[in-house]
Amino acid sequence: MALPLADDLANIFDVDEFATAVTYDGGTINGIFDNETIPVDTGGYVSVHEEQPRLTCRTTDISSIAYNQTMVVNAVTYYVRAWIHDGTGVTVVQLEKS
Amino acid sequence: MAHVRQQIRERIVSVLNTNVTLVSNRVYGTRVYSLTEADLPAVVVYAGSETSALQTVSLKTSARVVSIEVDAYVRGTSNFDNDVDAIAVQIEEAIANDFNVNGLAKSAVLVNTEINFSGEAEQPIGSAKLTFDVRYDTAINDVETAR
Repeated sequence: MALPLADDLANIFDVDEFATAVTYDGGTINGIFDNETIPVDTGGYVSVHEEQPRLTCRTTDISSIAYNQTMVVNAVTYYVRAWIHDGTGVTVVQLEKS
Repeated sequence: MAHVRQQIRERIVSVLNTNVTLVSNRVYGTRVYSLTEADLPAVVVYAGSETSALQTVSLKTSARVVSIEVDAYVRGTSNFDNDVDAIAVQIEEAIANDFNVNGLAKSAVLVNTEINFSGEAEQPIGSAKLTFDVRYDTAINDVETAR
């Protein structure tokens, strides 16, 4: 019996559940936006505390993802810098604040 | 009076605060807490390791070399590599123009530069660690006065 993973993802990435609407590639996709503050070690004595924006979304929603595309989340524009497909239909996108 | 090492560190902080205009007076001495976006660009100065040896037995002079480490941090979506080097220019020239650290030292010479970048956060961060060897002498029983 096939696992109903697509249905699960649809529920997870529902704006009424955990997701946020994101403007991307001329349309709107849903994704879970995290903007955790992390300590960045750049080789000096002290770290730099910076936010780390990441969008977790369905891989099928970003099938043509490319470097330097934009995503607008909560009225803030971010550039796509990198992404990791986890192989189960979910992708985490690394964003850079414009 | 304070240890000559402290006087040297404080003098270098003062010189950099005046001359490294690219960081807009954000020069910190021995900062141990993290920097934030609002703190950048910034320069942080530390006195690191120090070696010392008896130079003259009769005068009991201690010849010392302290490593003064100057960390520069920048943040930006572009040109952050150039910004790191631009700040390094101001740091190196400011310390070179105060070669004997206002009479506290014999010399202050850049001996190492390490440059690093990170793309982990919402904007790239670049840093440079410039290490200066500062040579100075004291009497072994009076480390608050430079010889």
